[in-house]
Amino acid sequence: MSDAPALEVLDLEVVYERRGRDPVRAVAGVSLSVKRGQILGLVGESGCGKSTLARAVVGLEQRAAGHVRFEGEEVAPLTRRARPAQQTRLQMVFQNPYSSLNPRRRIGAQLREALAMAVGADGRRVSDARVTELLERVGMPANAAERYPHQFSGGQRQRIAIARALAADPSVIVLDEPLSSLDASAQAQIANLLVALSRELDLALVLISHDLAIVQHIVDEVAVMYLGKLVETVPSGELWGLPAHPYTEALIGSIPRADGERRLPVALEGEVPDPSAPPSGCRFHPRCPYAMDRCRVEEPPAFDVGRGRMAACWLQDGATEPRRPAEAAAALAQRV
Amino acid sequence: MAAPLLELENLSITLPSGSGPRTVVHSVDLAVAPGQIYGIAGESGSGKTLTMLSLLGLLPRGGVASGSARFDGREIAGSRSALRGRDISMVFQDPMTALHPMLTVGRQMTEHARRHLKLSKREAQERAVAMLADVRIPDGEAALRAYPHEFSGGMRQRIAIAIALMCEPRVLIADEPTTALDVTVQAGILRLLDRLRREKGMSVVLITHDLGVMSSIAERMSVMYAGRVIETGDAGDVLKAPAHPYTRALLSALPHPGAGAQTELLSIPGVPASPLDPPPGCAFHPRCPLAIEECRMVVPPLLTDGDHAAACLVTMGEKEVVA
Repeated sequence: MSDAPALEVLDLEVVYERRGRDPVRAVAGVSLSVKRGQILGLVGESGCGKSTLARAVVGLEQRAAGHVRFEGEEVAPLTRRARPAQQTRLQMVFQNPYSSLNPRRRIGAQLREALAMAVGADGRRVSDARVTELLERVGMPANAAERYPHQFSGGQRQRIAIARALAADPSVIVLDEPLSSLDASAQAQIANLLVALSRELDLALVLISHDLAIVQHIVDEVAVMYLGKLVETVPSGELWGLPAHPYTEALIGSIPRADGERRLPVALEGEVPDPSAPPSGCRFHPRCPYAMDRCRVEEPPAFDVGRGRMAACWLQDGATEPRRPAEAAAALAQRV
Repeated sequence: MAAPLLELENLSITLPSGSGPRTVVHSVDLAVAPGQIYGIAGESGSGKTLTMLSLLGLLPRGGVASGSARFDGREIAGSRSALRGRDISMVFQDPMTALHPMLTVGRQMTEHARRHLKLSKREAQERAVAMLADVRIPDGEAALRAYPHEFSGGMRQRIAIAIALMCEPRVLIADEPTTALDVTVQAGILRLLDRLRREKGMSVVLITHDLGVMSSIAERMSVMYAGRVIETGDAGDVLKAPAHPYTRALLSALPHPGAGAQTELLSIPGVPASPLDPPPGCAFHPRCPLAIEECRMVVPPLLTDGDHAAACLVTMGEKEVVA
């Protein structure tokens, strides 16, 4: 395994033009990278731009600025022409497996086609053994090939969608909310499958989700997105105990715990602002309990807060190691 | 406990099927006190929604409820007209199907309130604006003139909740009210429900598969599996010391906050039993790590340990049958 990132996103911007109205910068300059064998979680509330980012990464959205490099090569947005063969190894899995599988074709035929496309061959020449191998890889029985998508549960369909992505022998898979349409038990099964696949096949995974609680179980690193920008990246082991950005802290506080203590989760004040007119300065300042004067006028850069972590918050200005927002605010108050 | 406001006794529901009527909800007992939040947990297909729909006379065509359902002492089972608009309201999971896309929010909020509360148009609108402020929708006046599609999913769900609360129902049945929402918005709605309980004495029946949500606001809870209540009691007791293997499995499948990277999540083997065709004996036995021979043959009754009851021959073997 080389240390070069399998997927690298640099200052990516996606802008939706709207007739007669202000354009929306759905992704407003995002940089991230993921190595083979690593799982990156991308979390944020609905409307934060995480799905747009995912689609832009695989080339399903036009980008207004920035770069996406897959194995060192620039990824061109999809056109009607065939994508360079090398780039079929960048795959995507969508939220709803029922709408991404063809309801009228048997699972075997759909997997066979995906296998054939990966090698530029005729589907009829793909052996049954290859189809069976793919199904077994995702924990499905061989006889699933003879059945149709509607004959499976949501979790099983998601396994099949993952198998189809694996047919292209990918090195990177971007998964957009792969767990959110599943019940708890199926979620756990798919989550465990993703971790195993990443390890066994040395795959880089980008997992997009609104569910911080489950994401931190699966991934190595979490990137938190708010209103088109990353506000924090943090190893998932440190996320819970040591969030550095007030938004990350608020997300964690709003997750209800099943501990039988009848404790109400903490609500974050206000609404996600209109992305076509983001607040001045730090985009989070109108909802931030620690907001200072500076936050209202100056946008915080991505501070390196040590231990390989990033936080875009003025509280972390000059930090040598990550601190919780409350501690950082107290330290700052003392200095003044 | 005060006299229950809503009480189900031995409530069963049968639905038509290709091979004759099938019982899909079996003898459910449940009592909700005034000002209490009562949670019903279970996976999809466990019968939790159907049980509540039957109270409102909303069973699917051919569905028949038997047993007793009382609201404030009045028998309401099977009769839609026994309830008044101010008695019980319901909020559904998907706000887009609950709101009429072609009518303004204002019309949808005030129509039933004017009728049930005999308010003038102006009074109803003032009330609607106040209600919208309660669910944290800013600029209520403008919101009343807008259509559902002009709002985000979280705001639509809050509008649906505001509509349900317009007539100050004594019981709110909330079916997965926050499942489609972000946790930040969910936290706000859970706090709102808890506030209405405290300030207005509203009772809430909260249907959810999310035991975290359950834990944060429910006082009492029941867990359903394949159409039966398999565990019931004080929510704190059930969640801290679950007695049924199914409840235990549900809890251990939850992500543990702070567990850190790549700790394996436990999952329940197999798939949920179909309520139309459940396995013989205890419906959970094919997925149960504790199952013994008897579990394949006997449907376990609810066995009680004080205030906490569970339907399991293995974990509750020594306890008494609930009368």
